[in-house]
Amino acid sequence: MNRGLVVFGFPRSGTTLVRRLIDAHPRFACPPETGVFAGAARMLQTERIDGGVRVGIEAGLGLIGVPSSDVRARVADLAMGFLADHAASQGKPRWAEKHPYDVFHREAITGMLGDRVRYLIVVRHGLDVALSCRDLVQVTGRYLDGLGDAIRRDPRPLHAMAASWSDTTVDLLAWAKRHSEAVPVVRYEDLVADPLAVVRAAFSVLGEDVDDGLVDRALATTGAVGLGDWRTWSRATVDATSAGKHRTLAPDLVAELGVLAGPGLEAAGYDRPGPPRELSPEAALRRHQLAMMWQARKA
Amino acid sequence: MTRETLMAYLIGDLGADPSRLQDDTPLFSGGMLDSFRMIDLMTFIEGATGRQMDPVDVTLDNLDNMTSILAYVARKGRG
Repeated sequence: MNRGLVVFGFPRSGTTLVRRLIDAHPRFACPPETGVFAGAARMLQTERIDGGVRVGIEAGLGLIGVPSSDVRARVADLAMGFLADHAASQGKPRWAEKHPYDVFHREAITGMLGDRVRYLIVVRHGLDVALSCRDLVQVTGRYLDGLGDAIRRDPRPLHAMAASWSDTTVDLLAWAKRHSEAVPVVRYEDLVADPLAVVRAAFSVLGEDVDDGLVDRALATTGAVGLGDWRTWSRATVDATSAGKHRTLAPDLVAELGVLAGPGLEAAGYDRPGPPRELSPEAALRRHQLAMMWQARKA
Repeated sequence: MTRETLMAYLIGDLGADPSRLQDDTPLFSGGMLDSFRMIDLMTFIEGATGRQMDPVDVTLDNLDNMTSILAYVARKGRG
């Protein structure tokens, strides 16, 4: 019963807010992003060389007779041990961990932890996520590790992130359906609209009650910021205005991004934007000219 | 272009709020519609008048409410 909880969510999906809420629960300790599972997943990474020769810790220890299942279990014990120790230091029986890189290592992490832990998924509208990821890049000057492949496939940041979000979300939600135990899925838009109700619903799946004061306690917490969404920590209230920000984008851009994010939006129960409109080259040129005229008049 | 045609376009195509839309409601300066919708509106007006808008006509004086849009269209073309 006293098992840990791993939070999966694409970066910029509201996972830091979820972490604050979980940590405010009297039975859960959810520290700032420790990275223990992403680190453990990297430790278990296997390369294939020379026609399929496996190189990595599992293959290497296999040469001295250690089964892969033992390797994964012992690495999991190591990672979970840190979090269990932290929970104990906080006087809490259960721990939780969220890290933005975990979703990119989800296969390795779920393969390593299996049903030794519970899982929770946070989903936010893919176009809002793409916009927020772009903001993060502007602040940090670089892409998160897991987004490198997406950017190599499509150099347009919003398009790349919308596509990556969609692939990840489809895969994650499909895995959640297959998983042997129920995985609560928290939609960011529902969470900011009614935090207590959404947290209560998620925790009930995990077999835990939630008291009326949990949200207020979570938002009053200012210590142990660690890593995570810098904006969340500056707020003492849940900010619902960040839901639906993609509506500030040009409709044609929203339509383009909607095509890329479409499968993920459908899987997560969001409306898909309408298809891009087909304009003749002349009509497209005239729209461009009108936009320039309007910009010039505003300047 | 009639008042009813314009109103139907603003509500149905541009998403103007029908409960707040009056003849003198400021569409853009009041925040009901954004700049992207301005381009759509200008395209709509060009289709209605059959003439390209002159850059000097692209002003809020001509485009910010239904009364001024209808007056502009009447001056410029097929009204």
